[in-house]
Amino acid sequence: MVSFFLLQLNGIFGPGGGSDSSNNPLSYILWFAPIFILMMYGQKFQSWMILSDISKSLSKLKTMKETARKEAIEYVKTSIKPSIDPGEKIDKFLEYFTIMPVDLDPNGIIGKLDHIMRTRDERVRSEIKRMADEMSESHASRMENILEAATALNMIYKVVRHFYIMGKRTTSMFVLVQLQMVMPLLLQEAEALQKAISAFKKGLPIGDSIGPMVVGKMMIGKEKKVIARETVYSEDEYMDRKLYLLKAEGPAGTVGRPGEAVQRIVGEIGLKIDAIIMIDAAMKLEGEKTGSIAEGIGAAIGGIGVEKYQIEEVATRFNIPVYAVIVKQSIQDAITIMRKEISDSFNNVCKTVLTVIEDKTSVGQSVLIIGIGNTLGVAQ
Amino acid sequence: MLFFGKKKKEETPTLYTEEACQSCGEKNKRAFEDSDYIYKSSSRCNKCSGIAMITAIYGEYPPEKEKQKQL
Repeated sequence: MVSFFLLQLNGIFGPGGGSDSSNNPLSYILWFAPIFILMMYGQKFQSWMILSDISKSLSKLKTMKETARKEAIEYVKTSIKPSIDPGEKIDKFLEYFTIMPVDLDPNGIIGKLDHIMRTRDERVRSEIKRMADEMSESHASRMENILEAATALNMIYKVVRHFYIMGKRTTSMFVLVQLQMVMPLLLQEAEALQKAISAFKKGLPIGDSIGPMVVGKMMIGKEKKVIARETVYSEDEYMDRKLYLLKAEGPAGTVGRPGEAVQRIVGEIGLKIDAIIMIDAAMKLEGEKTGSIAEGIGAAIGGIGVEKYQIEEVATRFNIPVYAVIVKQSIQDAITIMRKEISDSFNNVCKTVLTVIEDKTSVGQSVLIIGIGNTLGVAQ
Repeated sequence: MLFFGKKKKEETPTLYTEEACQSCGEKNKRAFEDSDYIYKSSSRCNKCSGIAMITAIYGEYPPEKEKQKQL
């Protein structure tokens, strides 16, 4: 192709000024043929290239999905030692789905969501426990986290494969281009999920554990009371203020139920709270430094929205200001082993929390401090 | 450009555990062990024989060769 064009150029600009070649009808055909071919088949060529690009990414996703499945099976075999082969059970888990409640009627959607998510959690937990009778809570929670990551990987693979096959069948450029555009982000997320599995297997703290890590330190040596499922609280004092410290019960891999816990502490037990401080990991924007700290207002909590609603509802009902301290990190950092930059921010987060207590509350008041996030590998 | 994209090298972090003595405050950094978790009373302090507690567990990535220009 290149030599052909060089010949053509030589014919036009070379010795003789191109006067001879311009009279040759074959050179005209050879000159214009590629233009017509590209006009007619250009989009097809582009589709082929995109398809091959997506195909490569899809095989990467397939490898990741299969590795995740194998790792889950291996974990069950080595740590839990079940009586039967767990392969079939794991495959069944990977296909589990949750149907979200109807949102046409906005009255009571949070209650319905809460009910569905609890049913799902309880079902998964009971199914995991059924694999081996003598499974510890810690192993069960790790297994739950591993399965969650493996299920997410399985879902990403299946959705990408669906659009790939659909795009291939219809040769629709619009489907293929959209898929190609989101592919780097999907691959990044899939890689993070795969790395997360190894952190879950070893019980390592992840980036999201920074909130529980801060509150866990404050709870050392204090009496811990269970306030909701997998959620504990302690009492402490700081500069003549009463502190209520709340976090998920570690070092198991759980986020607890902080929403329900706040509702019980403030609503049911009736403790008078003058301020709520929430510490959580938050998504950083590209260009922002991992582990940097920011202060703000509002409920710093992710997830489907049930816990956030519960905390906001109590705060509004009892007129309690909610302050947030966040540690910035990427979505990949949040679910993989805690980076040194995030761990190094620990002392600054503690200082910031204490400053918020001093600035926003007065002597004799009570503060509820909540460490939000997965408490994997973080005790209290 | 199309075919010669730079292949991203897989980065694996080195896992470390940091301990601090509850009596003298002596700090120690060592390789992560499987049973480690944060706020676990781990071992005896080398300096005063007090009880050391795990204060941090993290992954350290190799330094990036080309640092992104700060915008």
